[in-house]
Amino acid sequence: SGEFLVIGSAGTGKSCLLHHFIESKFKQDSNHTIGVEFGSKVVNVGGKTVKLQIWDTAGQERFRSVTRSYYRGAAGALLVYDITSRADVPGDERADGRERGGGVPEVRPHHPQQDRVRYRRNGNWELGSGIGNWDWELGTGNWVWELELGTGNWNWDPGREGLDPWESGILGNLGIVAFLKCTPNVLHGIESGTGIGNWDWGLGIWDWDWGLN
Amino acid sequence: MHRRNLTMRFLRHGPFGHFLLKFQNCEYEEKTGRAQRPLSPKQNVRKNLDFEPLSTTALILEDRPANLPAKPAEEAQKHRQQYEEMVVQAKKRELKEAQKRKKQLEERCKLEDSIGNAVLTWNNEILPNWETMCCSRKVRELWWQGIPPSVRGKVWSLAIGNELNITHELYDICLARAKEKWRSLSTGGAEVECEDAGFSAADREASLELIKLDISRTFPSLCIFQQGGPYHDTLHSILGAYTCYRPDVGYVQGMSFIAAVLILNLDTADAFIAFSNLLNKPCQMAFFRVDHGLMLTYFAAFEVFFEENLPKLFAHFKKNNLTPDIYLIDWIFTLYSKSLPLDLACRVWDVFCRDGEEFLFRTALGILKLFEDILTKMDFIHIAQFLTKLPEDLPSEEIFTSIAAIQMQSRNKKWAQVKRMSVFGN
Repeated sequence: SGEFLVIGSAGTGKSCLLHHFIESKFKQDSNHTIGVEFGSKVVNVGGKTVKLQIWDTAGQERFRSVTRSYYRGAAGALLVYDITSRADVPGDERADGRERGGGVPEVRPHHPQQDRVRYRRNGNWELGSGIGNWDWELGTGNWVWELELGTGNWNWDPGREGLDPWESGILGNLGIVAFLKCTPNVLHGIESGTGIGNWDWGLGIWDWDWGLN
Repeated sequence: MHRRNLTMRFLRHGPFGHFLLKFQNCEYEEKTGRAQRPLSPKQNVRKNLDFEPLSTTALILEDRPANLPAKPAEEAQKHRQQYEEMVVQAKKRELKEAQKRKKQLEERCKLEDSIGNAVLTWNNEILPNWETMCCSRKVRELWWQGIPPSVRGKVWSLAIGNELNITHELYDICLARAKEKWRSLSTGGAEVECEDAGFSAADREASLELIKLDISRTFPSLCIFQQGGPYHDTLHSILGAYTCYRPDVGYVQGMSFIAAVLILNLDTADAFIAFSNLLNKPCQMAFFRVDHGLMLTYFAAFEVFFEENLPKLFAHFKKNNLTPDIYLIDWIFTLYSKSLPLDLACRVWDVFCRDGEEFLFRTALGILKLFEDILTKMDFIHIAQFLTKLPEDLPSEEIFTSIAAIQMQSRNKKWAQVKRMSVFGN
């Protein structure tokens, strides 16, 4: 089995993403995670069966020392971050006054040993008044739509105000895809016997962890 | 509410027999978790008084329809006999259910009486003589039974105390400062003065943002702390005021649950006073400052009592590399308010106020003990999942019986002594 961490800043949606991966359902009314919570799922990757043990960690920076103590045993990690937050992602402008809310994850391979999930949070979707922003974000963040998600046909209709893409099911299998895309690397981690604490990831987890990015 | 009237017809067709049984007006309670939702006592009383066994059941024996040949006499006799047996059975069952309900009603009345009596005792005898009575055996025993909700806040306040001498005025001052900060943040205006030790302005900004985010993620199912809910602003105010009162600690996830539980039992300023004093206790300070070394000390002391009380389970956890931080962090940070049903969590708080930090660890052992048999059959991930998401229908009496069975003495050493030894052991 593979220990798999989910890390990232508070409120980026780690637990929701995990819940969706495990239950194939969207989670409403979720508490924030204190310490660590767990999920597990058996997945098939390249003909191999892997039982993922997923450690869903608390996001607040203050808990990093606790989270960091879990790195050693982990075969992989999913870094979830908020693309509308400057603190999380360099180079992304944060639109002022925007509420946090639902989100869109993006799986973007950066490095042979690293997948990142970008997880867009934009309360305007929930509020149903942010269509303009959404278009604007489309313009600046084209790649959000170029996900290697295999869904291909996101019939997001900007005219339909108030439709939450999470609820509407348009983003149906994103949680699953996010995790599955990371799994081959977890498999690599298991087979090579190296925990993520030992990996040299360049722009990876350590930069995020130490706030260097 | 969870009842429905059912009419069931049993038809039995056969070459010789045909009778129709009607069960009318039988009341069935749905055997779902929802049945546990507390009904108001009035509703329950009515339900029980409604019940009259003979008038609610009608079992009717009908002959064959006229267009069919009549039953032979002995067949008819046999059916009459079967019918009578069924009636007897049905009556027996009804009687039994009636007795069961009567017993439940009696128990409920007894419980209500005892709560009523307890309220009187707390209000008239204990609270006016707090200093002299709070440590008496009688009060401690009553305390263990759970503090009646109407006096809970008062007792918590008294037990937690106000070592910090916080006044309502100080709360108002801290709140005013917090509001100022929020204003300057939202307008992006003037620099907030950088007096806060150890944390950057960005960190503080992030923590103010985080409060907003976490409030809506605190007891979301209660729908009272969320945006637009009646206690949203109160929770926001207390957490904000605390970051101004203790900038060196700031806002740490988990605090919102503690503040929320206090808000449910106390007025705002008193909740703030209890909140600040509670967090000032050594165990809470160690955890909320995320002082890893100190936290390990607590975990080590906990493991001493774990091994002493539940050696088999302790060995199983060791074998599976299941360290206490995995489940204790959540339990200690939120004082069980996130992981236990709220009424049960409040009972844990009651005794925590009486016994101090060691009761938090005793509770943990009580939970482990209650589920020892299941847990010893599980592997790492299942234990971890189970303990970080406990079953929703935890029976509070069983939990407390289980906690009561936990000995907080290890080789004649008490919690505080073991903890002190753990410091040097690390």
